[in-house]
Amino acid sequence: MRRTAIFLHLLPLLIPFVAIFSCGLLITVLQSFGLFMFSYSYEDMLFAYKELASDDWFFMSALFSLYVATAASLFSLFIGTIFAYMVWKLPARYHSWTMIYKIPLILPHIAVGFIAFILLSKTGVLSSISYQTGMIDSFESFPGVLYSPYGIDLIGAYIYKETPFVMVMVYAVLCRFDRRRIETAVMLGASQLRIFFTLILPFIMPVLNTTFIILFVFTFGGFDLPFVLGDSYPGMLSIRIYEYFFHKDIVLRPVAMAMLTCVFLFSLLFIVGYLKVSTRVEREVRKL
Amino acid sequence: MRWLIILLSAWSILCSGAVSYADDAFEALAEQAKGTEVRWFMWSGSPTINTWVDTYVAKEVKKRYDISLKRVSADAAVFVNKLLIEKQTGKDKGTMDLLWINGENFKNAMENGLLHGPVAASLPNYRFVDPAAVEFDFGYPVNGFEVPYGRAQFVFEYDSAVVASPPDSFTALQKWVKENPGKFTYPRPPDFTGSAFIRQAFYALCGGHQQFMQGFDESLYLEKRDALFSYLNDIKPYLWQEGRTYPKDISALDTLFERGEVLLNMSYHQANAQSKILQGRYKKTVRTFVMTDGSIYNTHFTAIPYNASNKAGAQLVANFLLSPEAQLNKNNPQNWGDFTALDISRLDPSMQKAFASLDLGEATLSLAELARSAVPEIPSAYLELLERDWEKKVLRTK
Repeated sequence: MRRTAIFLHLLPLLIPFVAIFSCGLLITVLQSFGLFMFSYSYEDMLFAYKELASDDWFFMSALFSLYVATAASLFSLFIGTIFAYMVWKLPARYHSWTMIYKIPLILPHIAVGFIAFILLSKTGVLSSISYQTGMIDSFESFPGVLYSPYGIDLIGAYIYKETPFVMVMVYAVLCRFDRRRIETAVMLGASQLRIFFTLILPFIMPVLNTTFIILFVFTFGGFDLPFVLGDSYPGMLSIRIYEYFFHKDIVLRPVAMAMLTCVFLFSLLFIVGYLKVSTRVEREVRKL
Repeated sequence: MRWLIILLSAWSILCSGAVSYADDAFEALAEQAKGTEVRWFMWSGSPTINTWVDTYVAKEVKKRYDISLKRVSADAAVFVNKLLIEKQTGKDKGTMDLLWINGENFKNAMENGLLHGPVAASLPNYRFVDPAAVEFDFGYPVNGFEVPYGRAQFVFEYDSAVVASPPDSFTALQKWVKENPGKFTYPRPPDFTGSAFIRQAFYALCGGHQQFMQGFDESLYLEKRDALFSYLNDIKPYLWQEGRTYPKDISALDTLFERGEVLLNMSYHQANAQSKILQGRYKKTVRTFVMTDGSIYNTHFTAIPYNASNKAGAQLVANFLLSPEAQLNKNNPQNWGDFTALDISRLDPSMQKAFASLDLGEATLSLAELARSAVPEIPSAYLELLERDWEKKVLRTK
């Protein structure tokens, strides 16, 4: 009974969601099999998937996306959690000052990309300042942070953007934590580290898991930052998809759609798998 | 005074009696399009071009035909895509009235029946065009589905205060790049300009353009391509960022050139340097040059979508863009600098004179210099293969 009520309440939201999202998904999957491809027809329905299977660039891009998403999400989670904890431990009167950390949250990803570009490129603002102050002789000796082979620029920009998001999420949960438990622990002689690992961390673990999933899936499929900052090769999957979709012959559109389908399936599997593992781990921890 | 008016109107009636049936039909279109809006979807990456469209063109079509022109910025690939979807979902009243299109996008649009036409021959100003010059668009037959609109030629740009003698052939470029490591690069194909750069190198290094003009021949391509890719790989370690990465599009390369990070730039628009100087983005000493072993030119076009809701208005605007006055205005580097698609010899003498006396600016090469090395575009099937193989054989080799 209650379930139907909830369902009915959600209906106005669900209808557009289902209509738009599933239609898009359906067309993507169909086109990846060469169906509904305008005036083109394909003899082999699996043509796009075969093309992908034989294309090692696709695997390189997938690995690179995986690497960027994992590194960026883990670092943001780590830094964001520490910052949130530090902010939470500050006396209440300073809390309004810490609002400043929310600035990167308002900036769109593409703006962060451009800021990084303007500041860090070889002839950018930081390079000019170093030159004017005599720290370097010419722009050529400015370190090549941008277009570095390990995607450091990309990961850095994502960390800058995602850390405040982690802080918001973690801080909100910390506010529900009963501070008296810490006082008790201190009275019992627990160290700061011990307090963090045995009291705080298990308490915020569920939100860390959710945040990690959100960040990971978002970064894995992210487009705007890699579009501004990314390398030509291998580049993230989203850029490959964009190129197949817009820049190549329309006959090759199914390949872009096949990549999108793969990204969607992978993200879905990742979410399900991650949630399964994390609940099991939590259960084990509780048993201890 | 009154007599004068009567005389003038009598004269104009006489004149209108002399015009052909096509012009009558056109009058009817003008009547139909009065007070309507034309939405022109076009690439809007150049502030100069946008300003020209938003001020001069918009004002003139308002004055002449009472049409409000709305420029909508979208890449050609994006609006062709939008049209494909509209066609698939059976939308017969589209939002686009006029498109700025050519090359692969035109081919894609034609293959899927996305364009309305043929229209070109019914436009009065088409009589100033040499039909042979606009028979093909990247090797694809135009058949009157596109209306010519302008012409552009590929040039290289350099700062004459920094580079004394620019390398004006592909052999000279190879030597120059090795002597100046890190100071040259090209936008990564499939970027429009980057792709044109490798096409030009293909012509120059693989035996000239003539052999590729008779439609697509895969065995010919396979036989000839190696010289191009070994050349590009040979200069790769000496490119900007040691060739590990390439600017993602021409505006990224423009930025590098403006800041002096690279010393040579390129543009598929012969007057780009002059208009950048006028805008204050380039130094006054920037000049252009073309490769003596071939410099590609192409014609760009306007076309009308099959489901345009204002086809009459779109034809009026396309016709206005083709008028000698608009073409002359567009050719002026103060406004844009784009070359005319008209055959100058078909214009009346005063117009011919006006075109001849245009001041193209010091940074733009003379028409004669440009014409000397001009070579036509390649059929687009070659283009697809060149882009694909560039990725395989140049981008991905270490």
